[in-house]
Amino acid sequence: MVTLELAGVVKHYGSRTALAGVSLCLAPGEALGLLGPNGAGKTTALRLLLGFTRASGGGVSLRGRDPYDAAARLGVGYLPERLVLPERASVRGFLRLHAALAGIAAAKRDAEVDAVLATVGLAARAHERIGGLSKGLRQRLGFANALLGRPELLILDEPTSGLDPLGVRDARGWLQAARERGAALLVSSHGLSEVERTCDRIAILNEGRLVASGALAELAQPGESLEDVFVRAVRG
Amino acid sequence: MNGFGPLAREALADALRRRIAAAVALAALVSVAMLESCTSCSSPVNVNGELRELSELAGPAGLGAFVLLGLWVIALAGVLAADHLQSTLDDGSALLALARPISRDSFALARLVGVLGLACCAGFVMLGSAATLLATRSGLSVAPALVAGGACALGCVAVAALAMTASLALPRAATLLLVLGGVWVSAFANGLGSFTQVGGWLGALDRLGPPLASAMALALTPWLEGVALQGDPVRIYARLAAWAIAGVLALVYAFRRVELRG
Repeated sequence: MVTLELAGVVKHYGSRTALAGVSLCLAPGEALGLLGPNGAGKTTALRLLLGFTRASGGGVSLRGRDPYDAAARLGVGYLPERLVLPERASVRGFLRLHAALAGIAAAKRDAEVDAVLATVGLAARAHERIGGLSKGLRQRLGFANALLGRPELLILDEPTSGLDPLGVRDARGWLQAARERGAALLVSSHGLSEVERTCDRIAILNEGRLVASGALAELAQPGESLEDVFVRAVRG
Repeated sequence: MNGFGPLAREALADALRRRIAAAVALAALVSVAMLESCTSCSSPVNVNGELRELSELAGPAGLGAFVLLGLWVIALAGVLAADHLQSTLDDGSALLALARPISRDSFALARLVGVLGLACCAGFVMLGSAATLLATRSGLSVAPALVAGGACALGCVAVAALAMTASLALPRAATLLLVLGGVWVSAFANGLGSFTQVGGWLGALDRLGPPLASAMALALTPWLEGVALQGDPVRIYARLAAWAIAGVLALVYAFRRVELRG
């Protein structure tokens, strides 16, 4: 049983190849860090898994289904790299809408929204307009949205972008708590230390190909850090 | 259609927050004020050297005014739809909703409903006021106006859905030109076709295109005394309904195939 899987996935955008035969899988409760330089294909892989785009070849499954099937995304929390939020909506209103979209029963929505607001430290700002929030607070709101409904899979694209050191530390705690209740994580990031602290396994993409995959202990030679492994995998 | 209701409410709120919504409200009020002024005039007018009471001209004038207002509402629905879906793809805001267990069909149709909600509000104010003023001041029956209002609503669905579909492939300016040009050229073809046989592409547009103007005009025929417009009303309404259904299906089909990049 896997939570998500890419099997020999190829993705072309016109004449450009974004992914060239990438295979990845994630088991329930596991945390996988997706690393790679800019343009390596990380975000494309996430888009395929969320059904935002179709693979040109190979197979993609999310919770055992085609990601284009809306039911596949039940129990999935997503934080995009470029977080666009409705400026005029209130923090609570935005989360209430997404609680409804996530399929949370109407009677439980307020409690669920209150819980995630308390988790990410936005309870005191619940009635403020999103347009008045700083970048870091918006990112916290993005996390709150991803954590709504206690998802069994979190897909996070550059999750600590815009967070200050305290926010980064808090985010680590939220992800740890999610893992403790059994959620699986797929984290795409340039933050090597964050991935190292959060994830069990690492997959490194370069120019659309999977160039390294496994636990850090398996990939690293004696005395090597994750940065050394990354540089060796990408530059050869 | 999980999540359709909340998404449709959000889409309507989005439409109301747009600057064009204020322009729509202003245009609706100006239209009502103009109608109020036109229908309150009681002095006779000179028609081809003959003095005639305005009440004698209320039917054709009312029909013309009602159809023009209806076309304006339909064009408005198309203009609003021209970027109401595409903008959510451009700025990436659609991704947060579509990462939820929400089908693309639900999302696209909810955006369409948001546009139609605003257009229908504007239509209700403009056409409702027109029908009320024409009924109370000129004695024209309200029932034909209700049927014409229904035809206008169907036209809004067809044009808004087709505009949204076009916006997925065309730049906004091109979609706007297509909407405005399409509505008025189609209305012109309908206008010609109501009184005479039209050939060429205008004739084809009148016979096969969405009968935006002719459906409303045929509904209002009871306001005309001794004048018959060409066309079978049932077939005209059926064609308009077919265009509305085809527009919605085209939107759903096109949105299923869109690559979401954000």
